[in-house]
Amino acid sequence: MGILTVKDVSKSFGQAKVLDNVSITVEEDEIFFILGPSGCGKTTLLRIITGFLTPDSGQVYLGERDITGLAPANRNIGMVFQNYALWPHMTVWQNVAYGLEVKKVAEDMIKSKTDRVLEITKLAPFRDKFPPHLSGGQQQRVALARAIIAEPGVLLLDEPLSNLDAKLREEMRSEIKRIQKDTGITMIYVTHDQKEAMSLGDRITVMNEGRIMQTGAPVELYSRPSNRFVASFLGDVNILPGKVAALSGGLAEIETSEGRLKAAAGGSISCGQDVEVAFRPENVLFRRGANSMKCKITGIEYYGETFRADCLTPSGKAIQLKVFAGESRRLAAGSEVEFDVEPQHLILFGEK
Amino acid sequence: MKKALYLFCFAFLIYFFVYPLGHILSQSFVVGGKFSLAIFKSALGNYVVRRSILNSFMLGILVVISTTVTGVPLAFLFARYRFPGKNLLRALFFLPLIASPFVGAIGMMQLLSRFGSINLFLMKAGIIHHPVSWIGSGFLGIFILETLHLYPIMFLNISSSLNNFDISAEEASYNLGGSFATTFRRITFPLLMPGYFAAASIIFIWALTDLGTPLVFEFKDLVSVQIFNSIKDINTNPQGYALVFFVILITLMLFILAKRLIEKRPYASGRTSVNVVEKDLGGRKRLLAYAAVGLLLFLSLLPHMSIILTSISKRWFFTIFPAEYTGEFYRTVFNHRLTRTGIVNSLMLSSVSTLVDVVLGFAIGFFLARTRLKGRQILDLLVMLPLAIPGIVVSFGYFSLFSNTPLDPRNNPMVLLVISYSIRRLPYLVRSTYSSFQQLSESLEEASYSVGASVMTTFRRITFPLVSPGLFAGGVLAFSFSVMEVSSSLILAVRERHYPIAKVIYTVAGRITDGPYVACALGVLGMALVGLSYYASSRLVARKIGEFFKIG
Amino acid sequence: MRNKLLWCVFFLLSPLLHSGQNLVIISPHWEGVRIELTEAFRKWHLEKYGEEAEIEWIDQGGASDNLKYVESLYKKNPGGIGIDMFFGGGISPYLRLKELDLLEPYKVSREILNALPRACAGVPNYDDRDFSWYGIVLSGFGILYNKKVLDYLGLPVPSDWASLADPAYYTWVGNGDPRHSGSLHMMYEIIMQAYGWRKGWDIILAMSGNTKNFSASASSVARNTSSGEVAVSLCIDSYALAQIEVSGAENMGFVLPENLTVINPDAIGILKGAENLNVARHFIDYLLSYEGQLLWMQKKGKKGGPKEYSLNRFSIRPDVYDHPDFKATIFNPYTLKGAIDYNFDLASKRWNLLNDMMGAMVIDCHRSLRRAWKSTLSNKSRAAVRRFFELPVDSGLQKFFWENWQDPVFRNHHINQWLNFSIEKYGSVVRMSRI
Repeated sequence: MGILTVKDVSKSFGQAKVLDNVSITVEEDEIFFILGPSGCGKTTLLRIITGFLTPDSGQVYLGERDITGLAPANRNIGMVFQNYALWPHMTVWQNVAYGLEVKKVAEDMIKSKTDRVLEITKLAPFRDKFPPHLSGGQQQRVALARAIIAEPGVLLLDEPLSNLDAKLREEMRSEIKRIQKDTGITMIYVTHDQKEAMSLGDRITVMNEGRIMQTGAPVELYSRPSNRFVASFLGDVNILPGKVAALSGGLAEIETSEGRLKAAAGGSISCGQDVEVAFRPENVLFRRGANSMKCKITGIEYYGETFRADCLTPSGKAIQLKVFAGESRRLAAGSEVEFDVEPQHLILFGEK
Repeated sequence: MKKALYLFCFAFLIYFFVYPLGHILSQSFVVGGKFSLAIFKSALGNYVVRRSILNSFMLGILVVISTTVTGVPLAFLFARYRFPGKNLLRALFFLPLIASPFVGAIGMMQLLSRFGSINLFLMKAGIIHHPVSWIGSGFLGIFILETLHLYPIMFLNISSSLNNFDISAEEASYNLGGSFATTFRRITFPLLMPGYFAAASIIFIWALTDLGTPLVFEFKDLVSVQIFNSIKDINTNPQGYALVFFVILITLMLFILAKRLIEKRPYASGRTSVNVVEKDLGGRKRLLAYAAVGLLLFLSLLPHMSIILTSISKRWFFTIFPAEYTGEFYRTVFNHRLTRTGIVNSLMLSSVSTLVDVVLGFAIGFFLARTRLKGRQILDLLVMLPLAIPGIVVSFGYFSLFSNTPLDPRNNPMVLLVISYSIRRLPYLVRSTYSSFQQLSESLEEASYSVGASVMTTFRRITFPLVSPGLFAGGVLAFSFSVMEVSSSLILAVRERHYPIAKVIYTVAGRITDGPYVACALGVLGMALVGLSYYASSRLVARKIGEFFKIG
Repeated sequence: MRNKLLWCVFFLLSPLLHSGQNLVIISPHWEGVRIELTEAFRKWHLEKYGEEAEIEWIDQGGASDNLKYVESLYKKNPGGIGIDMFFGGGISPYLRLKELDLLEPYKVSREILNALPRACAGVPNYDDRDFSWYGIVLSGFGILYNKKVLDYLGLPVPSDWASLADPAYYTWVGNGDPRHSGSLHMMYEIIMQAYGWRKGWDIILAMSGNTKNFSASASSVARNTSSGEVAVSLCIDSYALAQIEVSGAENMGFVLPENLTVINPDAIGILKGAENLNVARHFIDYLLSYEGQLLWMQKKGKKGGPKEYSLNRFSIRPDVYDHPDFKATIFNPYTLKGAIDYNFDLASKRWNLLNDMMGAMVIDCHRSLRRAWKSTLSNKSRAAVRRFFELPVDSGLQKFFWENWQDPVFRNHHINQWLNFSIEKYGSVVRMSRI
């Protein structure tokens, strides 16, 4: 059992089922991401973990302890709010120290600890300012400082960077990582931004329509997504429908509109089954190989070190290819290319 | 605890608001246990009653017209043009609101009477040769005083309506070739309509139910005065019930209409930024504007000036200005038993009723904004209704309902006075806390829980400090309204020991020797108190104080 | 904060705590009277009984209003209404209260009775049969005038009631509503008795045509006269004297119409079911004592006189007039010659009838009346003038009316009838004058 476990939690608002039998386990010291599009139920899950909502069924454990019915104040779970929720009538110092004051910590202890946390979060120079007078990044830091000072068992972050501009977001990302390393605090981080999740997360759980789609390390999710949703949510992907024609030695042969393709197969695939074959646009090699395919380039978009080619296959399917700039010589709009995808880069989804 | 308070709010409003109204209804329709229209028949068969209803209607409509003629152009001037001193002038237009016309009337008698200052001045200047009767039968005097008191309400409402929509709405019309008249008729007027109707209905109801001013001018053919007089023999002559019912009917109709109109406008809410374009007012036009504004201000401050002058005049007999001045009446105010009683009573009554308002207003604002308790909508309606129901109706209901109970106002009206003051001002408090709650993101409270603070601590350290400015601003206003409240005070306070300031002023003004002087001195003190409250309240919240004079 | 709160709660409750221990008096007496009497009685009571006695005053507008209020209260609470005494308003209200059995008799000491004549100029000074009420001061009724206004307008000083009917005073006469004010009622009754039914109404109607406004209270009629809103007005002596004292004798004057007025006591009585019966009796004792009587007549600041407000009322005890301060200056109602032979019985019987006739025929249709009167002034059509003075009631029918006046249906019916008659009448006067 991890430091925080959510077990079989369901929640409905009226007719709408917002969480459907959700289970997650968060391990100590990790940054655990809950990733999903807006409306997928991640905020509801978060509020159930903090205790602002009670689940219709299922439990929440902190360590071994069932905290499902516990009031938010007694859970020892910290929270960083999307809009920071800083108290406008208190200074930075007061905002941060509040968590200790309400726990009736001795005064000199409050002082030293608050000062230390402000030091860690680089807020010491702003201690007597009021939140409305701070910049977005500074407010974000105050929210973090306020949440970690009480040394919560778990810290929840609800889309903490969504209100910052791109550059500041990068900065804060590494800042959060650093603080996590310095304090060793377990974080549950909710976001819809897959880049944030991939770059920061130790593990990620992808949610959609109230259900957990897949949980795992970022690399695993990206390269071996277990379904079409995860695959496309984490990055661009080309998908071709097909049928399993043959199975042999961990390799499946799939009949698609672009010809017969060989792919590494998992256990649940059987002969004659309808499947989808997916591959990432960057996993193509311009050569003839086991899985050669042809296409005609209809347009090219440059992204600096890479560019993206929009193509049409002979059967009329639109696909994308992503190529490093160095290889661009051979490719121009209107030209036809042949490419290959290695079998281990072809992903099979059994069900739709 | 929460549930109990919620139920208490309900019980309070039902017992002290719905029940008295229901009582009036039943008394006016039920004779001898049976439904009957006899009381209405006999009331409407009475010539004086008929004429009173007619006069009250006339008064209401005339005051609406006169405040429209003054308030609307003024609002346009301030919303659309730029000129030096504008902000100061705008602030000055709050001054008419601080002097109740009832007190103003006492002072104005010195100016308006046939050998009063105005006529003496005009005769001396040779403009007239025979004194003009400004007060007339009293109707004219009431009309003048109420207009001078109420036009700022029109001004404030139209101003905020004008600032509520983008001037590009009009420019688009001009751009498409609309003339000024077409643009006004098709664009500006419809956009202003809800605000105008709201202001007009407040003003109409105000004029319809004003009791103090007609009493001072001794004009009795008005519904309010007839109701007031009918209380004396309500057990032997039930005609009063019919009149009160009539007032309830009209006010409710206007309230519902106003609410409908305001709810129907989707364009008033959710605006993000409005492009306010102020044109420069130059040359001759500017002079003209200054002259008009100056004249209006001068006229509307006449009551204030007359009260102040009267309060410090030792002798004011057939001269334009007092012949001698003195401060002794202010001493009298503090030395005399009745005046002192009135001041103490009013301060105490207003404090307690404000306290009740603050507690209930906060609770109800919380229930409406932060809970999903059943019956919230009904509570909302109940608490907003006193905006429409005039004090004269509420107090009349109390008087007839609570006689022969421990709350009998004849023995001790203090409890009922507190309740009637607080019920009437409760809507302001509820509204201001409600909007404070709405502006206060719930996550601020959740953040407090998440660091381990209890509900009480969170309330004490986070919620309350953030909601309180609006609450206190509303409280200060409620206090100032209560200090000079007229109709409940006149009706409910029967024994001198219980008189609030307004009734003391009314009584003292009738004193044959120094009466008007002392009454005016007391009036000046009341005016100062109200003015200070407005000022304090506007400092407490960044929000414009004008919002408290709007309904809906 | 907490202290302040407690303080508030205490103040809120304090009136509740000692309610019922004060002498509660309903009275239209003006505030100066109330202040002075409260103080003086408190002192007197403390000296005599070693206890403070506090008076609480209630007022509903005028004596007539107070009478209505008290009657209405007794209808709901026959056992007692929480008011101990009825004070002021002449003596007619007391006859009415006695008729309804709402007065508690109290016989004062022999010593006081000896100092109190049974009547003054034909009007009883107290209820010498049942001792249910006592006159406290004597009032004279006359005309208050503003010399400055009369000078400016070039109008003569009025000498008697009939002179107020002079069209020269058009819009300059001040008047009040007898349905609210007892003293104004007295003056209409005096006019009726001094001139007789027909001539009395002629004077009243013409005078009402000259009247600017019917005030609700007698005191404001007096104030309007001194402010110049009107030039002359019907006025009780005490208000007139007070107004003269304020505005100066060079500016204001008061006339008691020779041979045409009446001296009328202003009475007091204990109400049935009074909770503070003993204090109420003490109050009557005090009012009728020499000391209590002196207070009404002595100027403020003088020995035995009021502290702040001169009350300007005439004592009901003849011995007070022997006081050295009054011998030369003040007239003595007991030696006043030429008061009319006042029929008190008639007056109290038609109290309500006269009020309602005034209401229906004059006050409630005053605008039409004034317009009609104006039109007769500019166009002397004889028929119009005759029509103006027409009455809906013949003097012979009075008795029939007042005997049935307690029946609200009968009463309302006739009030409405007279009102409609009058409006129609005044309308036709205007039409007739136009031709």
